[in-house]
Amino acid sequence: MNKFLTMLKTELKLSFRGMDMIIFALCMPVVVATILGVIYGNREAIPGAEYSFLEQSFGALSTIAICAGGVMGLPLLISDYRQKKILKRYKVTPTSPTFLLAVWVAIYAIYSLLSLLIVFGTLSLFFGCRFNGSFGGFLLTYILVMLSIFSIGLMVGGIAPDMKTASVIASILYFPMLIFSGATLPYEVMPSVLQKAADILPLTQGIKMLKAASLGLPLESVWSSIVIMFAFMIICGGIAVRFFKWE
Amino acid sequence: MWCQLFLYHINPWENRKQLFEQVGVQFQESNYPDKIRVRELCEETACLYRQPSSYGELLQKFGLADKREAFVSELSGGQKQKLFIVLALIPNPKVAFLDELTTGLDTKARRGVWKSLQELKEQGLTIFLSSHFMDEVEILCDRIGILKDGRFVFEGTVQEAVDLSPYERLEDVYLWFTGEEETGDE
Repeated sequence: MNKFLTMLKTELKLSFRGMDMIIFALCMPVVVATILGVIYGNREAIPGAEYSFLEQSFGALSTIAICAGGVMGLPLLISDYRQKKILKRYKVTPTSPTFLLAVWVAIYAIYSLLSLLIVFGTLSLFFGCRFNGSFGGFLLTYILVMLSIFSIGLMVGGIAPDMKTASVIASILYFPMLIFSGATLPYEVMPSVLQKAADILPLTQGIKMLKAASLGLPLESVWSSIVIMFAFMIICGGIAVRFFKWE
Repeated sequence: MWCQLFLYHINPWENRKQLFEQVGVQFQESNYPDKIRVRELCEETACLYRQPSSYGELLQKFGLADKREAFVSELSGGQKQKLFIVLALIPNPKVAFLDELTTGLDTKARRGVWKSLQELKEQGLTIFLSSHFMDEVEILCDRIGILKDGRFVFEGTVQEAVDLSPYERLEDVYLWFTGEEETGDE
């Protein structure tokens, strides 16, 4: 079998056995979606809006898994493998950092896409949400947001000297992003001071794009977010590959 | 001081992928992910090489065939060491580097590993073995090198080493070469 698929299959199994991503990337988004669904029901986003509050939140909820996998799962996995000297073993095989990083990115991409499906299913089956944007456009946007958030995690995992440092940095990135970027706590209910602060977080920009794509709003309104996301992807991804440490 | 090193006419810094196709390595510490099974670890290793040996046959040969589905963490010390030899042999290497292979093994497991290494030698595999056990070195090695502060102070056969020193036993010879024979009295 193809070497990428063989690695992916085994690493995915190992990750399932670890359970934490099942909880944080697959279960948690559904739980938050259900809570918001129960609280807001069919209420309009703002009086007179064509979409409901919940429909507006779909884009945000779909990023909880991206956040969990990208800034928690990825850096911890990489630094754990480095600390356990597993990377040292790979160093003396005919493989490259890019290959390994690609396998790990694929694992968390699978979690994110699964979570996207589950959240979408929950909202449309149980809470009557409709999807008004274009599926293709949304998916492309989703992948862009995913890759740029993942590249932040790759960079942290790639250059953090040990597991402890990686987990501190991951926590500093994960919890604020999860709470203040709008992924769990809706951006719209935050006071405007907090919104301004949240705008600094890359995930906030990603969620703005996803909202626009899922509600069928013009993407021109979020062009600055698109530029920011691409910049993150290229800079952090580049640093991760360039400064990757085997041991 | 700059030094340039070539193995099989390949520069390991410029062409590491090409070189590592032909090299098997076993590390002193066992390094594998948590909760990985023997078969999975072998599969992951094998998929990285262009022409790997069959790990099924290697596991069979090292008496680990019935452990295929066991978790690596559940293996005994001796079984783990054998598994790491299997991993080092999966590339179908021309040369294998084995680092303190028998440290921490009981006598029976050690003998088992020795026997496996003898067989590999007979098949023509070049083995670099590092060891603290002089009995092991005497039995297994055709040529030995003694290191002191990271530099070779002796290179040759066991017999040559013994002849050069005033001692008979390799352990004493080793201590004489490294200048550590007195430290036992302190």
